[in-house]
Amino acid sequence: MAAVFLFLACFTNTGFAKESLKLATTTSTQEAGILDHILEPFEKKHNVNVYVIAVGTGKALKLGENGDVDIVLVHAQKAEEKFVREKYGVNRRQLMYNDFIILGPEGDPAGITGLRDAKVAFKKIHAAEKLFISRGDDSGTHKKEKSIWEQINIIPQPGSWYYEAGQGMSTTLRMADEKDAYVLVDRGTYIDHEDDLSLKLMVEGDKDLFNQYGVIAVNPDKHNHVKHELAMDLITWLTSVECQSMIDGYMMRGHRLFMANTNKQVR
Amino acid sequence: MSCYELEGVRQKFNEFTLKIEKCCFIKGKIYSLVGPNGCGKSTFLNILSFLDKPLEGKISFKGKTVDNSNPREVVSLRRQIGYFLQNTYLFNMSVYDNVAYGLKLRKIPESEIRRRAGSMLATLSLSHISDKHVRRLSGGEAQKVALARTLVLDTDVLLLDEPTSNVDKNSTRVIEEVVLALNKERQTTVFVATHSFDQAYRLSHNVVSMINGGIKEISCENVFSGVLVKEENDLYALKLTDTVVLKLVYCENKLVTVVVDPKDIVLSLEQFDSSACNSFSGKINKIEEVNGFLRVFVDVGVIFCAVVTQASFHRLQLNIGRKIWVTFKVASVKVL
Amino acid sequence: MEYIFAGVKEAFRIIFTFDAQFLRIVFTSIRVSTSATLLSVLFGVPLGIFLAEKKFFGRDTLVVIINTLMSIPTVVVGLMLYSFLSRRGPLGEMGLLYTSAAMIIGQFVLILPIITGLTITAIQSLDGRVRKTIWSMGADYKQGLIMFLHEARYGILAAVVVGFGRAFSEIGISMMLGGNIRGYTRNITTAIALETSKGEFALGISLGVVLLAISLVINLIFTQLQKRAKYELL
Repeated sequence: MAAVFLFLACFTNTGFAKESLKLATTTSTQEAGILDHILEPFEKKHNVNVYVIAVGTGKALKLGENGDVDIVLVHAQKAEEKFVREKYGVNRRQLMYNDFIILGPEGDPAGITGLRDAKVAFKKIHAAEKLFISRGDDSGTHKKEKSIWEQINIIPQPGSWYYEAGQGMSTTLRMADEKDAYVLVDRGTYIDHEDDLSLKLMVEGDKDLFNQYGVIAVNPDKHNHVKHELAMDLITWLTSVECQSMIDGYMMRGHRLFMANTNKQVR
Repeated sequence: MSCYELEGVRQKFNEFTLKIEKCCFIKGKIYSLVGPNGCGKSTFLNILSFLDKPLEGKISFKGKTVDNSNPREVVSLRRQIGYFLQNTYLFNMSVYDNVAYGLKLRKIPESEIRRRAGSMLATLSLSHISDKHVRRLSGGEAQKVALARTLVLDTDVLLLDEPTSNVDKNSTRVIEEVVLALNKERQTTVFVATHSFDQAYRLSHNVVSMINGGIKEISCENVFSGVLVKEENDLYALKLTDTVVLKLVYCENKLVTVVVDPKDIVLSLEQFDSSACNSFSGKINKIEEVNGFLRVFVDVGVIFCAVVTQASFHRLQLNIGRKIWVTFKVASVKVL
Repeated sequence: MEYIFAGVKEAFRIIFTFDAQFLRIVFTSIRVSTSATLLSVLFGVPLGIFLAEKKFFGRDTLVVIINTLMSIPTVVVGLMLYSFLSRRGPLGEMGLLYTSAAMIIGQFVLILPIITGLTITAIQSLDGRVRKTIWSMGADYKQGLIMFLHEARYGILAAVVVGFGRAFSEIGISMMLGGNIRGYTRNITTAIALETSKGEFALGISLGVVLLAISLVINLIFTQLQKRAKYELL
């Protein structure tokens, strides 16, 4: 038995001296690479390893609910507020935002190029019944998309013009590209894949498409084993002026991805 | 008429080679193949059944040269042959379905299949187990079923590899009777590979002995069978007709088949006077030219075939109907 | 723990109320895997009999390759076919990527070696006298093939069952080539993966129960077939 644990310890790379903190977040932040960038100074300062578990927003919040992680960093304001209301999390702070854009196939059969209103664009796609591919995985992006449909009173049914991929952003984006479909995508993922895509950027700049990230510590009253103090230290770091300016300065292939806004309101 | 003619046939088996220079098997005869285990009996039967293609050599079946590389022809040849394999295998179905299988392959109407399979099962006293699954049979029953499956096909040729190795005496007798009856009524040519010399002599017209893949040469011409009578000077006589009695040297069994090589026969206008020769007179009834030689058929009560050169043919001024003497040494009469 | 119980409870509600989405997912799995299995049987069984029976130059190498491919990872098949079926690939024109046809092709490629390989084994483990007996009875090629099938039927059926089981439970190909599109190419395994990634357990558990149940049935059939085959080989 002891041997088994020893064996496992070798592979789990815990390191006996260092403390660890588990952070559940969304694939989009992980893929954008910003986390490594802003977590590194924190890890050094506190001599701690932050383990990043990158999943969909829904799953990230579930992990928090179950006490599997110490802190969550996600982008789905309503769900986050519910999370705090139900006492799973404490001390929610907004952190930064990025934005979503709508891509479409060359030729733009639904005619949405240049629009600045996502709702109008969605209406046109629906009216033209041109293929739209949804993440369909309950992720922050999916939630954002659903909120836009709700605002225009359309409940798209999976079928001829509306596909729910149920996969990550990159896969969904590739699928849309293969199928010449419209797709809602975060700018980071788009920039990352821009060169391989035949899809064109058609709609951007709508406030509705802004994507607010929040950070929440898991409530130690619900799960007394969580490392609450360390989680609070991380939140303090993330909302510090120093880290906020790091976020603003983060570039990916020459594009700025995230706007830090701890102290500002988005709308 | 010949059933099989083989020439220069070679086939590998284990580390031995089966070698048959030239031999001929007559339609309607029963041949026994005897010899020790591993002497090539099964290999030989595999060739006769057209299951295996020999490495080299020529085979004629019913007077036609066989093209072993034509799958259609091979299938149609196999369908004229009933082959009972040694250590036979029964298909995973009922006794009846096994017996009917070969008939179904030959697209015989269902009603006839029922009649023939039924009567064959009855002959071998298998009717009571006809619906049994073959895996529930005893060893002897299984062997009889396999035999019924072969015999029911009513083929022109029967190849039986150790057909009675696994059955009791009574069944052995029944099986032998069935085989003899088929041979008698339908002129079926039968080959029986057996360990039992008793069975070989009881059943067959000819006993062919095989040793290390070799087989005694059997010619198609001048083949005669009959009962031996002992004469003086260690000579035996084989009475073919009242007037034609062959003299030959000692042989151990009574019922024999003998052969005289046509090249050993001398034709002459006058009788040679020699007691060490067989000499008969008769009329020429057929002349054929083969490869520059002439084959002369002489009716002396039985038909003899002799091979002569063009030169002697003209010297003797042979023609059909001419009276001529047929002479050959006693030692030229070979017992098969 | 509580959420697991809640999940299980909800799962059984989904199963026994014949939830439409649930049925659709199960049906997609069955339809795709059955089609792939039928296709593989159509090609794999005759190929297996052929390879077991005929001797030709390079046959042994071919058999070794087939046996190796029996354990090919699903993601390798997925990747290979993705590059072929993608718009930029040689078969891109056909627009097959992210359709159930692509899943069928993928699973076909996955289990063809399994069905072929196990058919070879089934035929070769037949009694050596079977071959000779069939041809000695005067069977032509087609009749012989049918008898081989008959004699090796349990072994071949086992091959089919194993192939179906592999297709039914794989996820890599379905995810990569089918795309897990809801109501269209979403099958049991991709749905379970999705539900887990969403942190929703109820639908995932109910699908898992179906997957297990079908695996159980497959295993029971397989064991039974092996028993029968053993009996007949006596």
